[in-house]
Amino acid sequence: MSLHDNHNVIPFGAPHDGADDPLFEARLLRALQVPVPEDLVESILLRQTTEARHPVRARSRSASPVWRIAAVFALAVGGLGLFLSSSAPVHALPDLAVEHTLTHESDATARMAQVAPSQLRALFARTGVILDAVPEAVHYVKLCELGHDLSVHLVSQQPSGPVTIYYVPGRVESARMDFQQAGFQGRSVPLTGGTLVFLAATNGAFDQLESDWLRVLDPSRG
Amino acid sequence: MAAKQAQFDALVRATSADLYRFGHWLCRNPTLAHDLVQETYLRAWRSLDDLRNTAAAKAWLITILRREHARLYERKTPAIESIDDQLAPLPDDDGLIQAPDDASEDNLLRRAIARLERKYREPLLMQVMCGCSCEEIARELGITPQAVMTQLFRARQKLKAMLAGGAAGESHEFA
Repeated sequence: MSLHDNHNVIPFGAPHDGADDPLFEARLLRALQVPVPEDLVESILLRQTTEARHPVRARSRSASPVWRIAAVFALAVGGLGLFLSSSAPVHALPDLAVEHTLTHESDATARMAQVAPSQLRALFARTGVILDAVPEAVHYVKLCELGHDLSVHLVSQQPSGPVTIYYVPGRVESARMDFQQAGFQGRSVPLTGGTLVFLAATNGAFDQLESDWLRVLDPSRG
Repeated sequence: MAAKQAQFDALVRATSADLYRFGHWLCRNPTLAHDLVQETYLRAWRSLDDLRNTAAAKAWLITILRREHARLYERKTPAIESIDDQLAPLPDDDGLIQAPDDASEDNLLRRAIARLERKYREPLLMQVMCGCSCEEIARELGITPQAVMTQLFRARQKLKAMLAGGAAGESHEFA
């Protein structure tokens, strides 16, 4: 008798869900265990905290007049608040990058194993960036928060020493610049859809890395 | 706000691994599964106040995940030309094939699970991987608990038959 022959019939006396074979159940459970990304919890909480700070709520297109009045009032109050707070400092990316490098993942620059291209692509994809090509010599990659912005935090081991790289999608700085801060040499490079920040003890590898990443992230300029 | 954040943190830490695995089996792709789970928890965060019974949190999250999967991916899923195309993402570089024994036993079972019809596979995943009760699965799938039992029973029967068939050359065809 094939399985097709007994539709809607459960054999008499059998456990209803058929989970009566401990060995098979153990094997089933084992087979279903796919590897869970190491940064799963962290990436979920990162997106949630970003959302909590910049809530995006779907609005009904057919909002009632009461809601429209409330919205106008909120806009007016918000505009006033924006005006009053316009002098509040917006932290520059170099400041944020240096602060993050000093206080988080301080061991990131010690990583020597090369990151798999698939992992790199997957992480960039989560920021909405699809990489056609992947630069070589990436030894660390993680999604991190720089201020209110989501960034891809990378480390590349170079002959001159490790270089920390941040790609901040959606935040485009006004100008390319080199800087020095807290013992770091740095470079900030605005791209079409975001900004790259390089940090290292020396800037010897910046030109080559800038060229490599421009080619990948901003092909029209690279 | 701090209490809500603490509740959410605890929820993520307690449930995200199982939810990711469930999403992985729905999407058959680790990147899509990761995105799907992130979207699911974002939705959960927005409506966390609706979660009255924390004991039902996992079933609540599965409901959100299945809806998100339907919204984001089901229409975009390319037509599957063959079973091999359908199974290709599973033994990719996701660490699913870890040893020769794994290829011959657990991986054979994975392929069999992937071949199950969705109506059998989903309740099985919910039960075995997520620990959902028969009633929870029934509510989620909109069917009776008796129908859930039947599908779970059939799912196991089909898997065992497929494994037996696999050993003899994978000649079975299941609908």
